[in-house]
Amino acid sequence: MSVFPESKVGIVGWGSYFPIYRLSMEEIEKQWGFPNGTGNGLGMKEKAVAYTDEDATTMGYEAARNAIARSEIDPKKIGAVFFGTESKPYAVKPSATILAEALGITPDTMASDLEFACRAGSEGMRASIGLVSSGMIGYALAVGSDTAQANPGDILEFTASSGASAFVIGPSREAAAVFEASYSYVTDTPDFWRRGLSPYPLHGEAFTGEPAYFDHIINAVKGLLEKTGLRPSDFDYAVFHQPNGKFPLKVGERLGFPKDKVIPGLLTPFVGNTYNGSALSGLSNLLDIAKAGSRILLAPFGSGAGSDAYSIIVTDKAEVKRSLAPTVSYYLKRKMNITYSEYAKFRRLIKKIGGD
Amino acid sequence: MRVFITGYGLSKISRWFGETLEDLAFKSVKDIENKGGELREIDALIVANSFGGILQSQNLLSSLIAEDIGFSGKLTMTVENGGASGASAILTASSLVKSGLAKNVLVIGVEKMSDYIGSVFNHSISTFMNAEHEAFYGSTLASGFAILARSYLSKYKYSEEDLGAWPILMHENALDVPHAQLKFKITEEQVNSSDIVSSPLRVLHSPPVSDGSAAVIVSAEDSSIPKEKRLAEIKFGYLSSHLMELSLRENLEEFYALKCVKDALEKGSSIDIKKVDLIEISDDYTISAPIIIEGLGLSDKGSGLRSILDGRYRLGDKPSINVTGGTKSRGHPFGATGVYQVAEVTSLLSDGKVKGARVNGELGLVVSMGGIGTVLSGILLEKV
Repeated sequence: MSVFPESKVGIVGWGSYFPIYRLSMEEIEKQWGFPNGTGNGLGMKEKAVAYTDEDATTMGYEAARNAIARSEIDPKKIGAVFFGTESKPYAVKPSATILAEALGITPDTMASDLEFACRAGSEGMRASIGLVSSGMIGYALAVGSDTAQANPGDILEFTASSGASAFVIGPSREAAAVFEASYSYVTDTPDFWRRGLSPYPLHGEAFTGEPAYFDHIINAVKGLLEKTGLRPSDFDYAVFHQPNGKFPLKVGERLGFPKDKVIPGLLTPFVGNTYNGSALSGLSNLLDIAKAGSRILLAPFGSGAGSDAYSIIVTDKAEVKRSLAPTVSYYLKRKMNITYSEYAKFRRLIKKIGGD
Repeated sequence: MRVFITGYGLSKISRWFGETLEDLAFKSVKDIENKGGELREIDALIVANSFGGILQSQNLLSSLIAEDIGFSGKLTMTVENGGASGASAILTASSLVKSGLAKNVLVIGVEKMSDYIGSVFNHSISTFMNAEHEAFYGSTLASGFAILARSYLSKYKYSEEDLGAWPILMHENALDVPHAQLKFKITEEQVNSSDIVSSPLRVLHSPPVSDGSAAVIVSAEDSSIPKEKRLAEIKFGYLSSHLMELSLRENLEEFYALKCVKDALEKGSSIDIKKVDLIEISDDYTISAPIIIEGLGLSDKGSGLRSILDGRYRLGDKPSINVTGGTKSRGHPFGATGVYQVAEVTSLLSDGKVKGARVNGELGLVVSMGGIGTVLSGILLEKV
């Protein structure tokens, strides 16, 4: 296999965060009169719900703090902060600067918010690879974080959830996992969107599947395999964007990745679709558990639409770094179930005058 | 004047997100050519389509398609008659030929329904109900058929699960049909656990959302198209409509319009429908299948579903019904469905093979439906 610029770079620190609250599928079914089992039919058990004092920046901060702890570097060395989200608290005013300031990265840094539906965090990761491998900066922080919105009663409500993952990208010699190669595949395919000032996104129902999710992920992964000469059997794990519990298994099957390679990185059944945190949290979980030498395929997807495919190899440094911050499984176990009315309050679905 | 089908074209039914109505129409015309149909002798074009005006904001569709296939400056028209649009277009073509206004009429059925979300789709197909008295109040095509299903199941003492036999058979039948949309088997458990669309009807009792196009050439006996191109003869055709509003009907377990069609067919052709070998029916939302089977006199009232449960009407039975999967599995591009049905029966009569087995049949019948039994049509075809 030829050597690609990506191989100079790796993940030196990773971290995730999920809010403590969980809403069961039954609560949503009861509230809206969906037939019992609708959520299960999407491969879902429950979804994580952010509290009223949480948003994409607070969750992104938590995840980034864990990532920086595992990187064991001085935050001042980070030269770029990319914040991928589609639920940023300010339409105008960067969220990346809030994170950079709170994490002690400012002022000698780049910082910007990226938007590409669920794929912006991944674009931040690929841009970070470019910046670090070129030598322009030493380290970069790529964050994917969302308090995903769903129109109450829409099928999207079963999956749209809250969570974040963050990665410190740096030189491969320090990395817990090194990048081998990456490939992006982007077209203008309007399968899911939210217009300015609209509180909830709209989607094209079945159009989000075949022409969007499947077409883009399959082409991105094929592009990566073609570029590298790798085959599905060369990978120990595969993590795809996880809009529900079923699509990742289906796209895996179609690409030749058996279930047992996909399930370890599949978190949506337990926490829901965390949008920009979705595939990246799956990767984060694998870095928590995978043996040195494991090869991981990562393929996030964003509506609109695009997908990136990465080949990532875990190094022996991963094991040492794991204990330096809470793992994904810690956040999965740390949970409190809530009712639909509490969910409605936490996510501000109930409109009232005055107060917040 | 005898009237023949001298060519047919079928295109794969699917969700063609990247294709326009004209693109889809072009595919079936191209397929006529691939199958040796004679397009140069065409002197009239009829397009069957039901939703172009609503979904694509495109009326005068036949003019547009004529432009696209290089056919401008000739007789063109568009026929809308719900799910019976295709059959209506073929009956119109047959009349043009008989009257001498045309010698060879190209009939293209085309429909594109998957560009929009479910609510728009449901709104569109619910235009087959009375807009002021039914659809305005939230009735949908599915809920109308559900009322029929409830009434039928309760009157004749069937369980909801009994409805599953039909879609299972339709999915089996479509497995090897190249142009069919849903080519996979389903189980009783899958049918009975699929989402409820309108109780007792579930997703797997319902037709898929379909885009597709089929075409046939309807030719006069004295047309310049050589005799060896004749694939089937249109022996007789008739169409009838009846009360649209369900609340005005005396009886919800039968389609009165079908009785009118059956009477006219038997009288006009002197053919006993029980002698027909192959029948294609509009099995919309599953419940239409037993109702139409009974309406054609193939089963006694109330025993249509029983005969399906007993394994009747499969390939090899007389009659074989919907051996290409019906609206359930072949797909239901509404305005185009009737043209698909006629093209399928023509193909089966002329050189038909299904699942590797030759279909032996001399007589075929196509029954198309618009709305909830509001319009029914019958076209009798005979092997040439």
